[in-house]
Amino acid sequence: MDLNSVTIALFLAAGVRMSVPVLLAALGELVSERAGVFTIGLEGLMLFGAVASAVGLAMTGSPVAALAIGMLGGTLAAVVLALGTVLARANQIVMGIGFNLLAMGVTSLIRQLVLGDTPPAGSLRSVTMMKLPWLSDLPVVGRALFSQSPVFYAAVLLAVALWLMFRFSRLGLLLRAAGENASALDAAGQPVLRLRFGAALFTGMLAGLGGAYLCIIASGGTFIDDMTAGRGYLAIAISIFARWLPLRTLLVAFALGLLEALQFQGQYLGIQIATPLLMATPFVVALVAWVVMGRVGAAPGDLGKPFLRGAGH
Amino acid sequence: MPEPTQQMAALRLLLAKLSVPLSLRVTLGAFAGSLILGLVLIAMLGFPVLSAMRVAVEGAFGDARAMADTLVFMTPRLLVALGALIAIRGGLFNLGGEGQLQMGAIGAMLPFLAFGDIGPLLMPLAILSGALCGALWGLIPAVLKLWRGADEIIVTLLMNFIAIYFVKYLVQGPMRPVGSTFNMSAQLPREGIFVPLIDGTRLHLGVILAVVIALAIWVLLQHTAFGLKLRASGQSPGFVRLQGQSAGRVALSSMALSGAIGGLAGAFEVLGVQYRLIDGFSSGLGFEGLAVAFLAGLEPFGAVVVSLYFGAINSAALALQSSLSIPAALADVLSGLPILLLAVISGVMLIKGKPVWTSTR
Repeated sequence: MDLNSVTIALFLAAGVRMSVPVLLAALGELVSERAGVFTIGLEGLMLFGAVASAVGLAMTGSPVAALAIGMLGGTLAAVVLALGTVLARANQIVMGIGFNLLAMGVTSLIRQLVLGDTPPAGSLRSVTMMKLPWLSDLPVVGRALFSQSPVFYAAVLLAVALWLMFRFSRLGLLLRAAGENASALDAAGQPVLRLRFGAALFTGMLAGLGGAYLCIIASGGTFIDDMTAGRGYLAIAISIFARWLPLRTLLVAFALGLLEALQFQGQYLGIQIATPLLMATPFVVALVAWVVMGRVGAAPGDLGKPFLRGAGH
Repeated sequence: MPEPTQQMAALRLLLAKLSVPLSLRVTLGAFAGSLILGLVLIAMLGFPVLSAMRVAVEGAFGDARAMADTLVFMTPRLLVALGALIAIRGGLFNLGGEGQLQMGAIGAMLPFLAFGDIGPLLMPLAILSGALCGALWGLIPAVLKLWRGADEIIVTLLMNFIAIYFVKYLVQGPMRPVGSTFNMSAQLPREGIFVPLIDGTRLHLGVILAVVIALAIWVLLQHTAFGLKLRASGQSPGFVRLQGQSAGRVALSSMALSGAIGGLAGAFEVLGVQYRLIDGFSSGLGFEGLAVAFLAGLEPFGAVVVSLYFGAINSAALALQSSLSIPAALADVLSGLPILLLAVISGVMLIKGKPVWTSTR
């Protein structure tokens, strides 16, 4: 077994590719959780994004438009979810479970009734690969990091932007306050519900893009029932494991992408671990981290609590 | 001849006597609403609504086979719901029904793998082992909560996936018979399974046991000291401590019981439906079961009725698919809709200060 630089570069590149949808969804989840909304319906939002992008591709033939329509689909689905969880103060967990079931059914119906059996024609290259000048010529990392889908670059920039926002901007502070102590924020005269609603829509947009990535870039524009296969829940686990920090989310998602890539390319690297055990590791690691942190690294104080004026603490 | 005002008062009294509790009205509204939406959906898709309704009712309740299918679909959802409602009424949000179900399914295989075909003893051992595996899996989050203060919602959520992948690992490796290429374990011997109770149907012993367990849970919650302690610690943990009772012990025993019942859900799927451990046998039954518990207002008998609805929807969807080619995905829509509607309605009632149910009662 020779471990040359090409093998390693291909392995890293595959890891990056697999991390993108989960990274996007996890960044979205992080924002809504910071604002106090536990989006269990992330899986369903991704599915809506995926099916919307497949419909978009079939209608427009343009992969860029398809990704945009996927984002739009995720956002619209998030409106439904947020009307329940944010405005109607539905129990966020129950609502999320119901939403995921509904999403599974509705997206499958859309596939059977709207999308035909014919695979989409045309080139997807404009969204699957963008070689960055100079950087992509670097050894190993050039192939691994700088010859990726533009969506990946966007996701990385987004993680940095979110880090900046939560750390330095007024909006970041307000969002955090909505999740930490909504009553106090309300007493300060700030619109808690509007902030939470906006955060929930943002989550939908990113989850939608994650789903669209899965559908358009990872599987050539074909929607498959339940194609997210638990990635929404994985993204929730990542956001928790990364303690709601955007840059840490980026790293954790990438590490998990490498684990996922290992199941396909492990044999070339001379590593033999049963795939399911490999796939379970992120959840085990997240669990251990959660337990080790114990009461210290607590979640946002009002996470999962519907905001009721005057309910207090 | 009484005065009109008296008449009105008598009428009002009668109505008050007849009036159903708020939670029941809301739940019925949610189901009625989603069934109507389902019919509208069927009509919009261009299928004949009336014959679809007939096929659906016949597919769910039409003959012994249809009825048995409904009950078989009901069983795992009912059991997970019963497990979930015990934990939730004890004050712990057990989101881990799926994982406990998966571990119970593994548990049901263990006696056969350990001792081989040992005759009539095999089935009771499998049930016991399934319950035990579920209970152990349910205990972990309770222990972590008491010991480290780890939030049980997140722990149980994560543990679901660990259990799912563990089953995948077992059926792809250690439990797969030599020479087989399918991701499933060997089949259990005939003495070790729930043989169909009525020929030509899938009705199995687990269905009856599940209903008996629902009854037992109701007795436990309403008519035992343990049930009182459990409900008290869910409603007001501080009060339980003031009474000099150990809140920790209640948490541990309620989660163990909750996990055991969730484990039975998985064990009965193995013993009564699949006859082996197989990858992907659950398809989210654990999450559906949790939603059933909420739709049922966290009441055991309510859970029987609501899970019967879910069972009926699933067997009706199969009938709709085979005779009218209506996609079976409709079942997911009709299962998800009432959950959404109920969650929204109860949220709105919460704003109005009249909560339909709270997570702990």
